[in-house]
Amino acid sequence: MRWHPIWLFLVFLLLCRGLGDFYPFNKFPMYANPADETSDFIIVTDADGKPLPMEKLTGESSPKIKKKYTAVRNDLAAAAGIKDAANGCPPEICQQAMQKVAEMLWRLAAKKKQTLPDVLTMQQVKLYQEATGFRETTEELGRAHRKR
Amino acid sequence: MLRRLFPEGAFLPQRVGKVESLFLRLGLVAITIWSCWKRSPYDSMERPAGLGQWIDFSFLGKPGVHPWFLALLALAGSIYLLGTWRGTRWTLVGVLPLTLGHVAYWTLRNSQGNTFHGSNLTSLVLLGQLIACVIQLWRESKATRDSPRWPGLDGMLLYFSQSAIAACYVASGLTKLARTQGRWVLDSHLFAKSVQKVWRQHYFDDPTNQAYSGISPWAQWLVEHPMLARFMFGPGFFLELFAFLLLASRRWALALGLSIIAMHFFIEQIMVLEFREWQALSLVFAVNLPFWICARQKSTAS
Repeated sequence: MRWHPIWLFLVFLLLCRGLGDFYPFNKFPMYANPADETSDFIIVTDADGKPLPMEKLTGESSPKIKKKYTAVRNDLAAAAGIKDAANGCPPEICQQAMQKVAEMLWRLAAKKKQTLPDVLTMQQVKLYQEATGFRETTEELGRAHRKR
Repeated sequence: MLRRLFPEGAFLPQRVGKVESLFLRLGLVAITIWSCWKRSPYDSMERPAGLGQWIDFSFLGKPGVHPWFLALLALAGSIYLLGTWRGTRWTLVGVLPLTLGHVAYWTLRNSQGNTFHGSNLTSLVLLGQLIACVIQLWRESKATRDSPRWPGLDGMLLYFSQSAIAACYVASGLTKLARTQGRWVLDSHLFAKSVQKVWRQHYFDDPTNQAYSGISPWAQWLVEHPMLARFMFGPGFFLELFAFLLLASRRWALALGLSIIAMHFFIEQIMVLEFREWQALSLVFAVNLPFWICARQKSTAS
């Protein structure tokens, strides 16, 4: 082969950058923009707002639940013709997304022989970095009710 | 100076002996099986990703399949190991199911609507080795002689594995560069809130564990020392961006491999995020201890 064998590095690099999220290729965007104004995460609570140990009950950690919720919400929003769901998602779409994620969580808990409450709420926690510390705000995204 | 850093033959593949090749192969088989060791909790593909858009891999999560899947990987791994002596065909017959199995298992995991980045590198190393086997087989069919640019199968398995590792880190560095218009290092002190976020997420994953309650001591320190924070995160960014240098020579690979492993241990300390497979692959294919032990023994003997 006359080509320099570094071509495979270049091809993999181009595929990682060009294909985006196409396993096993990826742009690896974790922590790519530290200057984002806020950092947010999602917690799942019972109807009274008490946080539930989701990793133990379902095997799904807080980051996984957030990614799942975001993906489902974006899909539902795209189907409804909304492009930027992160900045202004109609409440009914957020509610639908939450219900879908909750159903997945109930399923996973059942597989692990664990019990989740019939009513789950999702709270979005936004974290702000300030000059000497941090500030948190919490907003309820919605409630999901188990259908029997 | 430049000539000393990059002597003649820099960025070309190295010749690899049989013993070294065996250890490299053993390392890859162990990492692949370890990566797929747990039964997938998923038996459906909620949001198909990658090849999952065309192929349904959900059967891998069905009851009773996983032990057979692991047995297949072990068999393929054994054939791949025997390929060290048996040559390209055996290596190809072994590495093909290892690659397909690993990609299928992790495509199922990544088809749940939340991407996990902990195993991409193993799949890409396997894919690189598969490509090396196919090209080597084609060269053998044409009776093409080995050359400095293609020093035979074992050298190319190592070189293409290193290429996959380098490509992933450089891609990550370029993404940081693109997303911040080049300001990543300057803005890196703002990472404190990401460190705090991960801390809080760990707390909420198990609120009974008080170890992660309150404010992360690392996050608080980063807020209070923004300039030192930039000096802490900056080297990691440049390490990613210049990871292609591990293709330059064995010494570069050793230095960068150790740096990458250290970087992940540092991230683990402050963010409680593990990248064990990435560390293990860097240990096997960049640090490559068996080569250095053999080289030392040879130099002592002579």
